[in-house]
Amino acid sequence: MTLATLLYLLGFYWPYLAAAAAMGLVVGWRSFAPKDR
Amino acid sequence: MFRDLIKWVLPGTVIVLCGTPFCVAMTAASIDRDISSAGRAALQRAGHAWADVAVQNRNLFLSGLSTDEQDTATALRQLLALQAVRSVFDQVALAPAANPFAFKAEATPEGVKLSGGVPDQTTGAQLLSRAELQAASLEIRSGMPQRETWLAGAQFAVENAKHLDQGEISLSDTTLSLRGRAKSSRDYRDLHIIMRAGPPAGLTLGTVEIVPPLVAPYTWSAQFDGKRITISGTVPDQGTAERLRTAELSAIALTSKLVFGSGEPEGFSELSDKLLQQLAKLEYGTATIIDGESRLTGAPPSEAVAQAVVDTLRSSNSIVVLEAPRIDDYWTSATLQPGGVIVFDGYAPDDETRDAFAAVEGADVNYLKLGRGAPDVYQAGTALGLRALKLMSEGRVSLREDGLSVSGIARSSADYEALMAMLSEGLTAVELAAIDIKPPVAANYEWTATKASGGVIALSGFVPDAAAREQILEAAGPAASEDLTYAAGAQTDFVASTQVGLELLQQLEDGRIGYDGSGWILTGTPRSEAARAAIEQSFTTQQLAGKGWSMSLAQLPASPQVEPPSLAVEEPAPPASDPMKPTAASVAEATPPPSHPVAPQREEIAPPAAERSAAVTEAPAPAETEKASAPLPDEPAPATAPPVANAPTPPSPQSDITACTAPVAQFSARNAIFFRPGAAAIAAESSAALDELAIDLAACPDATVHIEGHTDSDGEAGRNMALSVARAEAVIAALVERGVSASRLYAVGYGETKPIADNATPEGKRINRRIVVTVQPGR
Repeated sequence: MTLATLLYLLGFYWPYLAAAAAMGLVVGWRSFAPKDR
Repeated sequence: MFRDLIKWVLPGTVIVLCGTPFCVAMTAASIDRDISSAGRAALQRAGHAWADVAVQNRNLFLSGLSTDEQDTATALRQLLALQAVRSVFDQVALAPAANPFAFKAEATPEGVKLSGGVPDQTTGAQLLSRAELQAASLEIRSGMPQRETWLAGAQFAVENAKHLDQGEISLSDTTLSLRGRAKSSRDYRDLHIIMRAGPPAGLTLGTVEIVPPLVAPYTWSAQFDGKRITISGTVPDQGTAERLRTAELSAIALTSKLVFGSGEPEGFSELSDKLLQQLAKLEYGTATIIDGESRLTGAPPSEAVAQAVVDTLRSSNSIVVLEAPRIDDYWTSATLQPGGVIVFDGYAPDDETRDAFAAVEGADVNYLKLGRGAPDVYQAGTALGLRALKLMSEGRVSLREDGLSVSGIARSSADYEALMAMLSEGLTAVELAAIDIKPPVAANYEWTATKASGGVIALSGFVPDAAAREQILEAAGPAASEDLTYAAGAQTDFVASTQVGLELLQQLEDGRIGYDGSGWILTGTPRSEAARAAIEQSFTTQQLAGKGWSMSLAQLPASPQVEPPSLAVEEPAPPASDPMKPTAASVAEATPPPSHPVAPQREEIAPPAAERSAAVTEAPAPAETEKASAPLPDEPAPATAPPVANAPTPPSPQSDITACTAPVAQFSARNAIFFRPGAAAIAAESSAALDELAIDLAACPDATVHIEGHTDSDGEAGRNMALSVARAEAVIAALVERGVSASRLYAVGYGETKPIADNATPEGKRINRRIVVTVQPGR
């Protein structure tokens, strides 16, 4: 698989990658944030 | 730590494991679609129209019917070069190779049909659209030669197949062949032009057979107006056209307006050639061939050419309708035969005229031919001629360039006059070349001139023609009255005789000249003794007695001083026309016939037919019988002599022929002995006449009797001579049978040497065929 093919596929998959990244950010933020109690 | 791992890593792993297939499943279809379209676009760009692609999970499958492996490989390579293609699978089928690579555009009644191999679908579709067709039995084949060349050839075939009616244009590899029949002559011409320009570049030309369009009806014609022959219509090929165009036609100009066409009748080329040659022989005309029927019409210059043309074209079953040939020496004639049949001969300008002639009563037009070139006066001339023939009993009219000739015998004297008048009137319309019209033949040709005491001469009887009439009237003097009718059959010297007679008539106080068909009789009273002497002088000098004249003049009142004997002495000597024969005159003087107590006051001259023995008997009238009426002049009385005037001595036996001279002369004049034609056998009906002659001759038993035979001029002179002798001898034999002494009979034959009438007429001939009996004294 060439870089061109990888980039071609990213062109298709990037919304999913972005969604996964967003979910990771939310989960990470929630676990590292100080607790209220 | 471990709790952290469980808390973070596990859910993450689960999410990845579940999310990845989800993502892939969500995008696979659109990725495949995208690759597929990209592949197609790539093939399109490379021109692989035959190829198709299918994509599954980024795997590419190339399919289609290829005619070239190279092509397939190229296509595969190009597909593989595309982004995101995982792998390319070759599912291409290779078309069967064609060798030679054949393509055909066929013209059928339904239209153009394409068949054969094409390199690919696209090309096939292109050709179909060019041919404006929906479907064709084209097959994709491999093995095509140079693509561009082949394609140009196929397009050429498809386009030009439209010009054909039947046949095909085929392309085999790069060889182009054409075979077929053009749709129309325009297409035929176009095809020729196209083929002459050659096939598209790179193609070689195979067989080319272009048949001209089918023509029905197949028409060809040649028209000749006398100067130029114009050929038009259809010919099957260039060769025939060329041959017709360059035909040797004896310097006649030739124009051709030919088109090409097929469907010609069998033998067209030879037939057209032949017709053209024959047409050129005519003066003008038309030759046509319409399908199987050929026809030549026109006008031949002569009968011979017409015959030659007909003979030449007989073998080709052509219909030949020729006008009548031109006749250089144009003539026509109508001959009226005695039976009333009019035989037409010569030429008539057309059927109408011929039919008109045939409608004439008694017409026979079998000999009348048709001919052109009739003179201008033809109608007027023939009409005049036929009108003239109606007035004839037999005759002939003929018309030539120089005019009308009329000859024949008129029906009657009145018709004769009408004919002459008509012909002189007709002169304005028709020139008359010759006229020879005779009046009808008179059975008994009579003529009389009577002079009354007043001196006026009245003429009656027949004259042969107008000229003769003029002459006679002139001779008769201006005061003469006439009642003359025209008739033929006069003897040759008729007019001269009438003139002589009229001259003699001048010498008479009153009198008459009569012609009874055989002899001339002058009767009357002389003006004076001098006149009498002059008349008698004329008789002697002109030898009239020998020409059939007789004379019976009344005695002038004798003065008492004149002694009868002296009167007798003053009488002129008998005519010296035949010195060989002593005339009976002197004898008669001395012979007083007892049967005639009263002597006529006349000088008697023997009847004409007995001219050779013309016995001028003289009978001086005794004083006491002066007032006795004269016997009828045309009744030749037996020769008599007054007893007073002569010596009382009894007649010597030597001179005792007076008793038979007159009867014998009369007998001769009657011409009563008939013979079989051309033979010496006496006809049975003459028997009574011979009996009579024998009795007459018995009256003078001592006289020598000469039997003269004469013939007419028919036949050979030598034979006529022999015949005349034989006939005279036959008469002698007959007389001997009847008791006449053979010793005193002499036969003499003169043949045709001494005619007394015109041998040109039947009447004259009849008079010339005669037996003349003369008696002479002594043995």
